[in-house]
Amino acid sequence: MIVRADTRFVVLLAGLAVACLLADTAAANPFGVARPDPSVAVQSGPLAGLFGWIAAKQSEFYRALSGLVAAFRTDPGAGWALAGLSFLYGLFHAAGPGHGKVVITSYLVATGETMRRGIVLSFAAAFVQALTAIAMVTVLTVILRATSIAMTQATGFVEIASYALIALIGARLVYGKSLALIAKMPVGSPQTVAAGAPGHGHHHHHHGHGPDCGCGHDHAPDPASLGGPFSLKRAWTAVLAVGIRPCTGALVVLVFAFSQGVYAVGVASTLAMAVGTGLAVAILAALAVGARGFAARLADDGAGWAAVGLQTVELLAALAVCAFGLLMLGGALQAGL
Amino acid sequence: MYLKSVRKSVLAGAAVAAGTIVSAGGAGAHPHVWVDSRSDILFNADGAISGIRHAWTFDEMFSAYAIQGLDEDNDGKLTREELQPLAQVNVESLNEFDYFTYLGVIGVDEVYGVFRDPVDYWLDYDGTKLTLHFTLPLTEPFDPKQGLTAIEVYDPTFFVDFQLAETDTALLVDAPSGCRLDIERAEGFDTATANLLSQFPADVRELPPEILELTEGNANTIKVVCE
Ligand SMILES: [Zn+2]
Ligand SMILES: [Zn+2]
Repeated sequence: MIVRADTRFVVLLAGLAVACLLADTAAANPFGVARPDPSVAVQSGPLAGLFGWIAAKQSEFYRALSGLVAAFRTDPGAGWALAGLSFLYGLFHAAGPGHGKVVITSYLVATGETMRRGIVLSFAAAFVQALTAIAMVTVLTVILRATSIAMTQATGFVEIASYALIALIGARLVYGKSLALIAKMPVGSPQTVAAGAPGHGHHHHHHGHGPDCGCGHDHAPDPASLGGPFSLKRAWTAVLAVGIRPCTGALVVLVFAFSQGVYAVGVASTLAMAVGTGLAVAILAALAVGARGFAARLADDGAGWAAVGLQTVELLAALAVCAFGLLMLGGALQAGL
Repeated sequence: MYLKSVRKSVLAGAAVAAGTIVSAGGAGAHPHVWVDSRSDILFNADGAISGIRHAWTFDEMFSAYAIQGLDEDNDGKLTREELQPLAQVNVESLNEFDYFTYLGVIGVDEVYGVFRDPVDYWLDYDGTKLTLHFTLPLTEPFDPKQGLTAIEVYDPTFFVDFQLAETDTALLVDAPSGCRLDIERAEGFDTATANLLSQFPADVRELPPEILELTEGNANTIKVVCE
């Protein structure tokens, strides 16, 4: 019991430490309108150059978009170029966690979804995000003729709702995962655990790993993931949590298209961006799910400690979802409406 | 950048460390807003700089976003009155960013001007672009003869891409004779630095000192030379 209390405390403390450390990212805009897409990452290491190049391209595409939207008025032939550019902007721009990259991939790792579902969820989140942007601009700008100031406030509201939901989903995952891990810890020696493994003819990574996994066949449901066919249904909460925060880039392009009298072009561009964003997130999600699947196979066939390791990874992923939600929520609250 | 930024970098350190924990890779900062900047350097009767009057012209896309819903009488024109609430929001938000304006003596960290809240702020719209006008008074007049004085206009985090305007870039207003301007445009970042900066989240306002050093030579610098 002491072990259990200790672990819980450590988990809680780690969560809080991460949350506090991260809470300082305000998402204000220097000119007070159009909240920027938040991001929390600074890249270093071998991939820094690649990410820098991506950022530079993204900026280039974004600037070129305005020219093409304006050009469409006189030359509808610009439509294809616009669609292509929007797709590329979405693809390159998705590197920012405003597009749920962190949340979706961590969520998939924590819940052990399949590759196919991971890809579906990535695209779903991107499209929900595009639809939110379209809905917001249609209602606020086109119908209500709201000001940019009101629009920025509205974006602030949905941002806060989005991050609060992400934090809640993360907290729920952390709770479930830590219970699972704690239940795992005291179960005998590595040998005992390993002994159960050879008889294991099926793979586990398709369902939420219960506390028993790798050590017998008592498949009690993991409190955080009820596993099986219901997981996709549950995953929609994650999709919505990520998706209700519209992309600032899309908002600006939509409003600009409306101001140029070619609103439909803005809508098409936003949807093309979503395809690009979905693809980028899906690639990352597939990589994460693939890595996790590999770990799960090791855990299934191998030593019991591998299973503990896998559950630790799941717990860390759950913590990442929670910490991300708290960090962004803190930033959004600090930035105010 | 010749003037040392007076900002703290502690927060940036935390944010950077935190960001590295949470996320692998991200592209946030990269310019989102492009600004053409013009500045008037205002002098008092004693020959000291008393403030700076900026006119910042925003890019078309940002302008279109910012003006939405502000044409209250629907006459297709935006008057100064209609734009005033936006101007207010602009200058209030800029406060947190030090108005992207730094005044000091080149090479001396301790000698710099401190600005008060902006006065006389307003916006005008030419049909495609918005221009924000505002005056930043100094809390204490700044004697340009105490060293090689310069004004820098730039966003160290590169969220806003400031360019010095081609014409009327900077003017001396009521300056004593013997004063002139020497304008140095930002050369633009070399690829490596641009890449590095572009990776900072749009919302991180405090860069670590070693990063700030990298941006040396990339500020838009208006030198005020008084003999
Ligand atoms: Zn089993
Ligand atoms: Zn975005």
